[in-house]
Amino acid sequence: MMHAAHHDLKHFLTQYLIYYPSFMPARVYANVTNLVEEALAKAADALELADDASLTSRSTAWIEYGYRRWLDEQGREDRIRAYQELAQDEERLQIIQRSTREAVAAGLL
Amino acid sequence: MSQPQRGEIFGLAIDGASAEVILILSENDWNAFARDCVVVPFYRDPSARESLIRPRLDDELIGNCTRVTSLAQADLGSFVSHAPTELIHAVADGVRAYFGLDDLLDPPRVCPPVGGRAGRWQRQAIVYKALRIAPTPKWVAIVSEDPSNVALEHAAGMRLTSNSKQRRSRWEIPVRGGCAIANDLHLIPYSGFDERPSNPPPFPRLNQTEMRELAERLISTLEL
Repeated sequence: MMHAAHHDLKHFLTQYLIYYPSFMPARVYANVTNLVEEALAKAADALELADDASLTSRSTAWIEYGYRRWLDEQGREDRIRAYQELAQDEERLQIIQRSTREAVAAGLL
Repeated sequence: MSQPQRGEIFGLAIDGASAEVILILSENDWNAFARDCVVVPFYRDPSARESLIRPRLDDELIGNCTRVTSLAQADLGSFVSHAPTELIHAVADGVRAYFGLDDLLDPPRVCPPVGGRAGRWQRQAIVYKALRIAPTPKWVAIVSEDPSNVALEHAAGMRLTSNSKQRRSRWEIPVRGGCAIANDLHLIPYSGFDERPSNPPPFPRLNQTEMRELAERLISTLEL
């Protein structure tokens, strides 16, 4: 029963992804696959207690969850890359240090 | 030294500093990977009155959110303590108010005129030349709110760079004429601005959309 539900859900999700590209842009689909698999596993557990009528809403919720998690992770990685670039900007750091000393000299800091 | 964390309190390793300690406000991803952090200074002043922009740490030390600034991590002194959560929130609220972020995110239909001061003062969103923050003058956009700017003798400037450098990702906020550098905040006395620059700014006054983006970036990187 559980295996069949998992198969059905996977089929549904595949269709969902094909027919609703605005929800999940195609370019991110490949990157989401692992999270979709994780979501599928969780959804399959949930399906033990689910009836057919709730299949759609539950699976949609899980895939949205997976997509949000992927976006969060992706955003953080981008941010960290940007901060690493920032750390290499010696001139910027020197300006901050000089500016701090000017603020100290002006009695502000 | 281990990476400083948001909410930690340090001394300052700069001779002549009037601030007793500083509280780190920038988010931990920034602190871990950049080599600077954004801080709010605290001063020994037991008689000063506590307010939204002046949260008190204890009977002796009081903060001043109008003096929020970037600080190189090399200028951090000894670790002092972890700030209580309530104090971190109070400092964040004070900085949010000083930058007028709520008005930038949701601009009022009518902005009441800010007056009551004769002479020159720096206005929010306008670009000025800061004379002494670098060996050569640099352009900054004022990010502090006008009611504070009119009452104080200093303003907070965010540094602007031209588009000539290679695009450097998310920490730069595109504006017309170049980029603003997120978290590159300078505490500048009014005497440190060039009132009559020989050349006009290469950046126009930041418009509502640019200021909104800048506000969103400050909220994100400072967790305001």
